[in-house]
Amino acid sequence: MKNLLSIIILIASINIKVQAQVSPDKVANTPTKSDLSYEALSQFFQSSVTSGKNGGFDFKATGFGIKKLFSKKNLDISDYYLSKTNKAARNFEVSFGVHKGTNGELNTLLGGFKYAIINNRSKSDENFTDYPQLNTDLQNTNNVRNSAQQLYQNEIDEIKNDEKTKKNLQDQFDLSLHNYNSSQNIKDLPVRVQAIIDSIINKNYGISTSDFFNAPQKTYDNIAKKIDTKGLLTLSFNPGYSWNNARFDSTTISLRYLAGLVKKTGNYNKPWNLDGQLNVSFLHDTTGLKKNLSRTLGVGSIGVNKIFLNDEKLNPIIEFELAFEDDYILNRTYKNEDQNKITLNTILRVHLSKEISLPITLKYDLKNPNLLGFFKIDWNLETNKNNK
Amino acid sequence: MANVTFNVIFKDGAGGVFFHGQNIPDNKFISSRMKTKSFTVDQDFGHHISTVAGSAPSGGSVIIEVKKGDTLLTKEEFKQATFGGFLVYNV
Repeated sequence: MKNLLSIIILIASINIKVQAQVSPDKVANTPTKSDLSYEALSQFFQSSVTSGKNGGFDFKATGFGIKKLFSKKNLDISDYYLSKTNKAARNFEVSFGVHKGTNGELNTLLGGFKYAIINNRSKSDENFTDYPQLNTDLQNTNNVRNSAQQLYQNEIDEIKNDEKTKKNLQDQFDLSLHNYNSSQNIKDLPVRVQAIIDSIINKNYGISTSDFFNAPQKTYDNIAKKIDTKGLLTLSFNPGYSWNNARFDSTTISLRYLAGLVKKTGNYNKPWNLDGQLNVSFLHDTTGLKKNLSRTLGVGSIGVNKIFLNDEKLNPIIEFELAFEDDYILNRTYKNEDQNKITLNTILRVHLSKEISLPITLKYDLKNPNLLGFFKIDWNLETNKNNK
Repeated sequence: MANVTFNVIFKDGAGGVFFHGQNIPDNKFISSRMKTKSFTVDQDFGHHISTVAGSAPSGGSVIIEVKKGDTLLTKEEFKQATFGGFLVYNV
């Protein structure tokens, strides 16, 4: 946290956003989602500090995050993903923040909620053994393990006239099998069993023993990546209150849809994603009564996102997004104000490490050529060290 | 011979388990989607090793109990997303 605060202080003078959230990659052996998904719906807690004209502080928490905070049980990320009872808590997010108003002072309170109407990216709703490839991999590994243990058991059973040695070998064998259950490490099995396993795999599958036993996890990871590209539809409602003026300054209703465009390409590891957003904001009209929300602004954007580079565990390293955005004032346009503004937006997200990522955004006004750029740093806090 | 019952408990999530063992049909499968998550087979008295392989999403836990009547012969818990293992017990 100290490091995070240092960074905030260092970069507060430029137009930059520092964001902190719990590490998203603590699910055992499961690849992380892209940054795009985490922007759409946070996981436990997420805080951000934004400088600039309307900068301020924001805090977001899912229902599950709040539940985790007050639960006497040590809820971990396994509960988050797996428990059916936590499904609604996972998909519901509350937020609040303090932002600068038009006079540059921190005087605007923002609150609201977000709910994932469609969340097909939740792995807890999937039974991975419904996928035939994983079943084949699991059956193969089970068959090999079963054959090897039977062959070794026969060797022990055939020992005659030395009951002490036979019992010792059996006890060691039983203990090693129990240890293997916890470690899943083939090295915990007796050397003779390892040799039998190597021989069976070499003769029947022609691949290395480690590749053979890693196959189910590799298949599982690929299935997880497919799930990460499924549809996510969120609806949010965010009113803003200015305490200096004792009035609501804005209320925004937003709809966002994300879906992978991978059915034709089949490239689940570096997928294309569709990112569609529709926002309607009811804003204070400064030319009207003191308390009003008469100005209505509609913002629609449609874009595509592509993961260009993954690390060896299929976590994204470089993502790029291209989108068209149309800002249209539906009601109460000010004098000399463009009613319609169309921009071309690009976002390059570079994940420097699992903890730090750097999204760089450029917005280009297509009607009145003007380029606006800003970047932020996302900082993921590792708060689940017990759950590796 | 004795009746030996295998119970599968899926903790906090969905998954499935394959079994191998004496008198267990080849690749016997129990899924969290199934209404009945146990099966019973006849097995010889004495020492047994049955093998299992399965999956629970994102590290969820799968518990497998082996019972003779009401007597618990062995119990193993697997917390890995994909796992393989052994059930060692005496009937």
